[in-house]
Amino acid sequence: MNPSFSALTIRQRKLLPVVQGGMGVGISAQSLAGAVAHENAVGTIASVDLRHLHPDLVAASSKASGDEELNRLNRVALDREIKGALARAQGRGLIAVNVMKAVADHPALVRQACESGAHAVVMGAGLPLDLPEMTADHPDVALIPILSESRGIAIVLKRWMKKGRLPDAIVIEHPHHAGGHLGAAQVADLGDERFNFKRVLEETQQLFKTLEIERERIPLIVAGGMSHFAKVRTALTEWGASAVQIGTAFAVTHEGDAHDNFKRTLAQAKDEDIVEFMSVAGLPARGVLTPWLKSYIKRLDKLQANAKADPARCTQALNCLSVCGLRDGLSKAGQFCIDLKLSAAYRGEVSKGLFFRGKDPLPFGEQMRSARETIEYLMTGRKPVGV
Amino acid sequence: MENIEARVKKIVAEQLGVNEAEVKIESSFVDDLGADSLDTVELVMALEEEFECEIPDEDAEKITTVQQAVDYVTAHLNK
Repeated sequence: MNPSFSALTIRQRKLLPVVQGGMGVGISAQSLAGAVAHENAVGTIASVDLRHLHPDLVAASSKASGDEELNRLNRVALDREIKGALARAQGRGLIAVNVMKAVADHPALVRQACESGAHAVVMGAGLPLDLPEMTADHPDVALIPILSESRGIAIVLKRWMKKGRLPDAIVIEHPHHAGGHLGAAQVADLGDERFNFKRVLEETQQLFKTLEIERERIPLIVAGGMSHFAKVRTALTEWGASAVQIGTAFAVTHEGDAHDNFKRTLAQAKDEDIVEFMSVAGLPARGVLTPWLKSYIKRLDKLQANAKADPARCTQALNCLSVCGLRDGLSKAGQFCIDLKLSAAYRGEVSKGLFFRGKDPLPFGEQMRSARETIEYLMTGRKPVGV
Repeated sequence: MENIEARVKKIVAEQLGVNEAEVKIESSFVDDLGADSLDTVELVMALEEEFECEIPDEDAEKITTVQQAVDYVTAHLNK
């Protein structure tokens, strides 16, 4: 590691200050998370809808009677992925599981993550106010909320402190740079000054002082557009961040769990191909303007005008989200089936899928490299031969 | 002492940065008063302070209108 960087410490584990962000559906599972953890960094499994990675569970899904059975299959898949990642990590690094608050089955996924031996649970896409209660029986599991502005951090800290709990780290995700679901109410807010990393870090340090918890040294992890060595160095040595979280640059590594078509679609996307739109989860999202997304955006006015609350619009019968724009007829939110679109992207179906991606260029251009080479570059600035 | 409804409306106006006259008993924080998800939690925390009560997360999620806030406070005050 670069000698000017300090280790990221979570629950006595001394780690490289690199966190691989959770990416669903199936983009970061046991292969990627295990490979990153094996390098002594933080590997994160995205817990959402992992049954798509297991042919036997896909087969069982086609016979399933409804969301309860599908959720059970997803928990079986999560258990397998966690155990697989832990085996690949060989005792090194840290294996985290990302559970989105917006996912209806989130309490059961959190429970499964703890029972299957994950070292940490990371929660975003909503305020993780009740995460301490959900994990009360597993005090050894580290808890890491994802937030975007200091107001959100203040709320979580104050509510958790009443329960006698503090986060083991906090991910600060910049909605103007990150991929997938973004922490702002609408697309127009994504570039707001309140999300400026330097500002959020300073306000959070001030908040720690006000709440008299600065001695706890809660690591702050910046996420969004950080996959360049110069940015990593600035964040870690000038802004006071404890680590960087990287998504897209890890999704396209050899070890990334998705199909190679998925990786190529992300790696080959030009700046003008990366767009923002409203997701069915009611949050803005960022992805690649692939054929489906292009046609969806074109039809959006019509789809929104036809928004109607109708349980039958959940064609997958998974009811994956607590609140779904399509099923619940919320015209301001997205009007598509996110499970169908993200699982198609995972399988590499370029014309049908939805391909979430961060905004910024990748460190190795269109090349796919290993997780180890990516971490080496992030920590030292050295690129592999041939890049 | 002001009545509960007036105190709730005052806090809602302060927290959401809207004119007190705009805050009606039937107002929804999100749909009518432009609150976001952080605003609604901050509002609940301000109500806890004002009325010196604890509102658990699962109850807080159900308070989405001025009427619901007034009802909650009325039901849980002095217990």
